[in-house]
Amino acid sequence: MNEALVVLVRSLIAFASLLIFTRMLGKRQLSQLTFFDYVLGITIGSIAASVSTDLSSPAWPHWVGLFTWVAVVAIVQWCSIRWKIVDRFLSGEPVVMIMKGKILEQNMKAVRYTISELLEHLRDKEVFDISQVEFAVLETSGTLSVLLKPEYQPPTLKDLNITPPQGGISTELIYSGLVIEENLKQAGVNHKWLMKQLKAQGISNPDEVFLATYNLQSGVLYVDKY
Amino acid sequence: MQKLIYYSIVAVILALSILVMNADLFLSTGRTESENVPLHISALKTSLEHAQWESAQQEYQALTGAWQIIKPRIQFSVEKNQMDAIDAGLARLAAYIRWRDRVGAAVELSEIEAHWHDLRR
Repeated sequence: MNEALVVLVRSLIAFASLLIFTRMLGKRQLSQLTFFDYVLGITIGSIAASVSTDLSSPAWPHWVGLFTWVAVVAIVQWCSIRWKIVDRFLSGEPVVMIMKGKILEQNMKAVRYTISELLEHLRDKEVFDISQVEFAVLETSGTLSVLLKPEYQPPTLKDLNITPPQGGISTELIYSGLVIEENLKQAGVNHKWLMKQLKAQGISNPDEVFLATYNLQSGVLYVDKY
Repeated sequence: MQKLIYYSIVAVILALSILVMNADLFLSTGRTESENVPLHISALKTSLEHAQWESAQQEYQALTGAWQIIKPRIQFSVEKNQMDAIDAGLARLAAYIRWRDRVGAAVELSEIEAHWHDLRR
């Protein structure tokens, strides 16, 4: 047996399968994962590693295990969306730690959350004085959401009666020297217009540009050269 | 259209992966007589039963040849330990045939056959 070749082929299979399966399960930020999601990730990763390198057993049973775990998670996700009670059972519910400035000790005891953990998470949110907090909620992912009392909240442009500048999303027109034709169409501009704008900035060829983005609302073309 | 292409690519990748992982089911049966491992195991058994040592030696060479042809085809879908066990068994079988030990050769051949069937489990 050519072990290196076998590991190469099995690794390609594990990589492709894992990529496809994780795409099927959808996107969630690392900070939004529950403890179960975290353990699940480790388990699935461990099974994929067995598909890749465990030559003492065939790849097929491990792949079936990988597929089964992913399929069960997908079914559970579907059930969670369909029935709220399933979601509550699996993910739990957020728990209020501070309500109207008052610490709820019973709630903290119920989730085994200590005062030092509460203060640490508040400091994480740049709150060094607990008296400034109106509400604090411990989310199912373990993060703490904090709402400060109105007098301690930073002012907004509305509070200061300032009209904000036009915002909007930028669209990439050039990336790594390549013009993205689809985005040109989406932004409602064309190649001729783009070249004119680049020439105005002393650029004769899109090859010289690392990144160029266009904001339709403000009409600003941002260009970054190599 | 783009979605169709995307799903087709995904389906092809998964199908290929499953095919490679189960390649032993259809690649372990040889296309010709020279690739037929069970046939040569059976023929070798017969030679050993009748203590026909020249014939046994020839069948052993044919069995080893067939195994060497099949091995690279099924290596992606079977256990390494089973393949190593067959290799070790063939090495011991060679010695038993060389020294005309009928009982030892028969035992070894039975073990090789068991490992062969386990490959396809």
